Amino acid sequence: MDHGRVKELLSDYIDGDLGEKERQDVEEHLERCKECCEEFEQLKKTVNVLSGFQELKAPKDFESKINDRLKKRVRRRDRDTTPLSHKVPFETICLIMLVMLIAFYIMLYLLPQMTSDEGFKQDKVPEKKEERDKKEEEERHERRVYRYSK
Amino acid sequence: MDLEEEKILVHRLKNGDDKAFSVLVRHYQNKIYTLVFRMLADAEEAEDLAQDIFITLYTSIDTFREESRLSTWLYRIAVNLCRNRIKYLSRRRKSRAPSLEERGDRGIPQDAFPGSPVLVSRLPRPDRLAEGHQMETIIQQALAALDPEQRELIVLRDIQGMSYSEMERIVGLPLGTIKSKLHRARMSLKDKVSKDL
Repeated sequence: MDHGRVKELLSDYIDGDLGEKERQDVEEHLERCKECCEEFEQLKKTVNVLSGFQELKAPKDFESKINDRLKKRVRRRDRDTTPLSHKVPFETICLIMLVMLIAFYIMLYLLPQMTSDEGFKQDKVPEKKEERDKKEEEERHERRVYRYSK
Repeated sequence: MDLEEEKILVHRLKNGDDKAFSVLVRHYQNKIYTLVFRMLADAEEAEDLAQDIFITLYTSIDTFREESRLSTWLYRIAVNLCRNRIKYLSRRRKSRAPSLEERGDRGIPQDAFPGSPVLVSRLPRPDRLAEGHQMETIIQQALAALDPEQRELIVLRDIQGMSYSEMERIVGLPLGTIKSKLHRARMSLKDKVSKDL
């Protein structure tokens, strides 16, 4: 077995995953080859240190923090899905409705009345007082002429 | 926790029993926190991500079809969220390199978690370390410098002590690929630490 093949098998050898024949071949090579043996020792030491790493303890308030975050999520979800009446006070909704009703009433009834008044119509400009007086005078004159002609 | 007990807890959780969730959190919290800490090498990020993993367990339990063990499903969630967080953190570090002081602040005091390794960003003085602990520190430091995929395989196999069949289900790779990648990962870790061991 050559160096390259032995090095490829070192991990499996450490894990005990080699068949009987391959395991013997690797062991024989390691006995003869100093370079491969050193490499094997370093790899084994590294893996041993890794497997000796202790399990860490999660922080003491770990569970309560998860529960707090879940509660916040639920509250946020509820806020997004609750009807408007649950978020805004009933009094505020009534007030808004009242204002809207008044505005609607003004638009529907009061505004047309105001605009139908002659003073507000653009196409019927009120005659000036002098013109009106002159017209009336002319009419009176015509009536007088008509009476005399009879 | 045996399979039967785990199934009962899963059914209770699916039916909205929060106490079952508490039991599962208490059972898996150290394992998940350890996995995430070894992957991220940052206590603050590890705590936040470990919480995310359990929140995902709670919110997605209805999608768990019970074709595998709950632990396998939970580890799969953990591995996927770790991958995403590592990508996010590397993008953030590229755009904003933290100062040494800032990095130091994110570390945890050595006595906060007994047995925990020293963070890469905050190494205590070598004269205060026992030999065994010093080796652990050196290897943890080298582990954090590995490619994330290599780190993931080493953490699952050598630190968490998982079997290859569990790893196949968690990382979603065939056995041969896992073995060859793990071998390369171990060799590259060994090369990084060989002069210090």
